[in-house]
Amino acid sequence: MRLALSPELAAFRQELREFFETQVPWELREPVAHGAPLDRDVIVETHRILHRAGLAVPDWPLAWGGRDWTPLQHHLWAEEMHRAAVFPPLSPNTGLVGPVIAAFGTEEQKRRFLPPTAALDIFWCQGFSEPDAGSDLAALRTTAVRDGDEYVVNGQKTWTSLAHWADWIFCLVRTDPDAPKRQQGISFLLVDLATPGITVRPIRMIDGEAEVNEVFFDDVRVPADQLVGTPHEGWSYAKFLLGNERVNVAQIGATKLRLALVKEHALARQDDGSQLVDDPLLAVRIAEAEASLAALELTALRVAAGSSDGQPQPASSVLKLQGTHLQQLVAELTMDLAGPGSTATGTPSERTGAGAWERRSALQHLNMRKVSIYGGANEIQRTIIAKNVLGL
Amino acid sequence: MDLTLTPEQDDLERAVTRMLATAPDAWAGLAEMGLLGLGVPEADGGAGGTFADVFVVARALGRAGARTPYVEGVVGGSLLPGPADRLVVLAHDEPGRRWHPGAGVRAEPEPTGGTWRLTGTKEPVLHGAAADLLVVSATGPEGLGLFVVDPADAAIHSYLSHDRSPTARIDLDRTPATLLAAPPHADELLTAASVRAVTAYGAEALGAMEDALERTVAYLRTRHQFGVPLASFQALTHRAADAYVALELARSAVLYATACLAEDVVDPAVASRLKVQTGRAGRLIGQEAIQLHGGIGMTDEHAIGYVTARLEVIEHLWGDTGFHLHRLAAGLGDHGAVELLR
Repeated sequence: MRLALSPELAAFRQELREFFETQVPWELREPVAHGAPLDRDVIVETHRILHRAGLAVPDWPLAWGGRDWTPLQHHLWAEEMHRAAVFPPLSPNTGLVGPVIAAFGTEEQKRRFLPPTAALDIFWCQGFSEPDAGSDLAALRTTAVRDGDEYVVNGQKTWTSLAHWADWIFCLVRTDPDAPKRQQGISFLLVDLATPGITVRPIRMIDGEAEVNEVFFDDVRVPADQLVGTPHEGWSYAKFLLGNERVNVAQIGATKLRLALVKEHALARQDDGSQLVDDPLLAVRIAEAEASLAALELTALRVAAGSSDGQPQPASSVLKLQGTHLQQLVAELTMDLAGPGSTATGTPSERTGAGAWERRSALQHLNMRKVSIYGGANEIQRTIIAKNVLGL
Repeated sequence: MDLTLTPEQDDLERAVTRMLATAPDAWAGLAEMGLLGLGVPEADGGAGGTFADVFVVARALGRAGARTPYVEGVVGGSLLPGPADRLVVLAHDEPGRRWHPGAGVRAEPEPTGGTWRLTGTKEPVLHGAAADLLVVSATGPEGLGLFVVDPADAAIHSYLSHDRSPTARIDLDRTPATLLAAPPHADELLTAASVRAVTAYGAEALGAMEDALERTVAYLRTRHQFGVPLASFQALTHRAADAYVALELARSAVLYATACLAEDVVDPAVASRLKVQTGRAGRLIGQEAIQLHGGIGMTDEHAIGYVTARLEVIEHLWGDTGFHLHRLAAGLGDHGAVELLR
């Protein structure tokens, strides 16, 4: 057992802290710090700054820009990034499709896709869910039929995050409808969204934003060399990817930042000298959130230290469950702190900047309800824990 | 930062578990293995080692459901270091009071010499009847003090608590005592002792929760109703999954608090956060263990109910979850975000 960071790691952390605070301009961090709606320019410009410094894809293989860090170094990187309110490298690129191509793609696919994926010269989105394939992802019905050197894709994806800003989409498609098991006939296909026959339609959500989309495929012709790895093996690639996604969606650093902001608001002196934290129930809720978040962070550190080969463990389900629970809890707490101010949403232009946190709080709370649904609904995580960890 | 145990500590864990499974007297077994006085420097008569060793023993005791004065001895030994085989027990709680850092027991100085007389009642005092020496908190003219009392001089009434732990009421009536710590030093000693106590009990609670969840999972696999194992009902398996999540979060908090004490970082906020995690998890796991066992979980014959009882005993010692939440709430302004990496 050891509490302290080694001097080398402490220096490593200090170096990152300085980089994030001095090399990423405040204009790119301010919207993240204050929970503004997503902005494509913020995402792209931040990503490119990180990429130029070799900080966009540290967990990739060394040959493709990875840094060969220890899990603890990765933790410090993520922690410092969130602490400085830096928008993380685009996760569909760096955390989802990139690692899949690196692990299962052909050499030609790696050469063609990994550099622009790391640099965000390709903005990726994930085409997994379908109207009738949510938690039961293997029920997906979008088909890809081989025709000479091409696949012809037909079907519909939905809940596709940021497809309206994306250049390419990676999809799970059914290539063998006659396979004995549903999971066996699925392939992993890379598709340029500019290909004729694709329609992207944004879906307006309860927070008024349109982060997600429906994507329609109508006789879309995709070159066969854009099928990753082996045909019909896509399900195992998707499982690999979803394990990574679960770790990612715990968002511990981001929640830490939000909770620190909650405390700032709660401790601020009001006109009459009082503090919101004078309300003992609110104070206790904040204290409990802090204790829970510390326990989760320590658990993440334990999981990181335990996964020497970088493979996601079943414990990633614990992180997903509790991480999303705390994201929601802190959003709820922020809204409750704002009280009636949370209903004074104002107009979009009135909702920007640090002072407008109360106006944004309810919309953020509504937005956060998504996190226990995506990345494998929390009920799916409970089933994974019961089965894979407890053997039930 | 590294929250893992050493191979030696893993060996210790196995050895203690083996002993607990076979020895007729767990307390004598611990003494024979030289495990009393762990975490107390050898120069002070202790067995050396770090708090990580204390964690290992306390967790093994929790898993085995053994009712020994081990944790009480760890706390007593930190207040009054001495020979490892001398059991010092702190008598602090008093009837009719929730956890309170102060004391209602009255301390009066003797007109002659440096001795004192204490009057009042201490209850519950876990393992009070087994103590070789008692450390008693009492309020004197200057405030809270800690005193050493020979149990032979006090009236001790002993019984088993609801978890079957030997527990005592200690009546003091102008009982002779010597001063161990005067105010304000006594407060500081008590606070430091509380951090050790909460952490060591946390390790024991962790062991008890592991035991409860393992038993419950085994029961879900083997018990059949409607012609199928209980494990085929999602309403039950998802609750077991939630219990597992709570257990792992509690484990992280206990390991971290242990690592702090192993490096002599005595931080009440760390102990309070541990208490909140183990308090919430202990209640969830303890109650679910009985519910998922059904009627058999309510019986005296089946051990599971006593695991639940033990978790409730631990919850109510050294301040319950509510007390520690209030303490954390009062300190919210002391820091921005919680910094775990030092």
